[in-house]
Amino acid sequence: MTATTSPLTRVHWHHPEWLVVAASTAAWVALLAAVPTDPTLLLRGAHPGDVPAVVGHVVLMTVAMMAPLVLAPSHEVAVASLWRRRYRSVVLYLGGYLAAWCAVGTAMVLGIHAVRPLSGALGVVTVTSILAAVVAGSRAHVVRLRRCGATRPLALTGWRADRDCVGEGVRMAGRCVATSWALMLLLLAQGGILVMAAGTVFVVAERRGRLPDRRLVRWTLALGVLALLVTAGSLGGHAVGPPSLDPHAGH
Amino acid sequence: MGVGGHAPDPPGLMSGFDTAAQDPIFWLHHSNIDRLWQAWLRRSGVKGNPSEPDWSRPEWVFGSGSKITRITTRQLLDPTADPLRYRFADMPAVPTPEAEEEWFDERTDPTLALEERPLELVGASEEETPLGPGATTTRVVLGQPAGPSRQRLEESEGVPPGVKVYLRLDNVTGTVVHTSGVVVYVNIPAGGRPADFPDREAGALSMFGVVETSRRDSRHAGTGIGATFDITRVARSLASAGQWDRTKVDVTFVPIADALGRVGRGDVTVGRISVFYA
Repeated sequence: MTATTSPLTRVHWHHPEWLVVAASTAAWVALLAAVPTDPTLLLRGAHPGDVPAVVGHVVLMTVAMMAPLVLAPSHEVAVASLWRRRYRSVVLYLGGYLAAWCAVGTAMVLGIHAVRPLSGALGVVTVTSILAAVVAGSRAHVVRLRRCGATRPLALTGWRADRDCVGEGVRMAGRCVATSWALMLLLLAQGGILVMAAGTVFVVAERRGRLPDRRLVRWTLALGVLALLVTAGSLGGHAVGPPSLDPHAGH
Repeated sequence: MGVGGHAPDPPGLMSGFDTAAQDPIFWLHHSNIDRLWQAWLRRSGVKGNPSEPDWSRPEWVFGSGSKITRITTRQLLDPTADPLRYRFADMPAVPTPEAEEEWFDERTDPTLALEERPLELVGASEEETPLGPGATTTRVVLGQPAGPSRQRLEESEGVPPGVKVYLRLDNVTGTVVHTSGVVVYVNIPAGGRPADFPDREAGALSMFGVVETSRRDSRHAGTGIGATFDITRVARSLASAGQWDRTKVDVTFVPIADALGRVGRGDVTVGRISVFYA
């Protein structure tokens, strides 16, 4: 309680949301761990080749990109919980949030995979880029963006507290999906780690209010152009896109 | 502080986000807030304005159509510089440490900076509290602290030195306000008139912005306003009289009547009432 308080203690006391940072960091590390053996993963999606692997990859991408969006809400959930329940509350909240997002992300990848043979990799990225820019420019998008800051009282103890934490996480994911679904679609369609990283920076800045509303379309278009350039640059005669369900595809 | 009026009268200009600046008193009111902020910054032990970008970088938009002015918080931190260029007619003298100790209960302790202490929730209401036309009381059951505050609280009765007590109100929402504000009291005895216990006043909660922030639109999430009161002084006063119970706190909301003694009808609720130690 004095000036000699250790940095670890200070983090434990003041930033229980470090769990969220840890989860996102672990996901990024897991994604990057495959790059030394296949550097093209920086530019395009992986081709795990089977459904469990595809789901696993989508989960990693989702945790890496979407967990940073709930840093502040996770802090609030922890502070609004009894001291002995702080980490439990964060884990339940994050679990509800990520589970919902992962389900949506998996469905998106399956959908992208279904249409990719019809339009090609560049076609999918082009369409999703335009879609993301149109959504970013809508008034509904700004309203949904503000809704991401919504909070509601949580029960204090017992199963009701657990239920509220999970439920709040799922509700937050719902608001988040409603806000960022088009952007996520673009990032999953492109699939490369570089574009993912740029998209994460963008969506975090957007959510934290660092990007004025009037510039959202401009920045979304810039991200779409980056995704197109990277996709075009990585083509070289190979299929490009999200994790494939085709056991014979890719590697 | 309650401003602007309320139902059933037509609300005053100061009661709404979009019209407040049309009332001349708005400018006196906010200039004085800026003056008080500068006076606070001059207190010993105050580190200055927050440094977090989330505090200083947000852009505020004024006006509409072609007459829009955009400005960030950071641009206004020095009220004597452009664009404000204020010259305050008077500024309170910098208080002595003794004067601060008298008013703030304890001297600023450099080895126990407030930022060092984590907030620890010890109790909260389980249901939302509708604010009626009369006094409304809600009991908050408190548990024993389990965090860093525990040792200090176990060592002595009441509210030991170095411990702060906060009362937090979250999710104050409504579509119609019944008053310009409510005065919040702690532990008013059953049957007692809150006005007879000024030493138990936690503070005043203005209804300004409740309706606007309860709407889901491009500026608000729809979850209303919140407020936090430092009730350390109240708790210590009660403890010295043997009336501070660490297992429960009764929180009473008293609507502020208008000049004619009237309180209107509204639907304002407090989503959660919480008590924190730090």
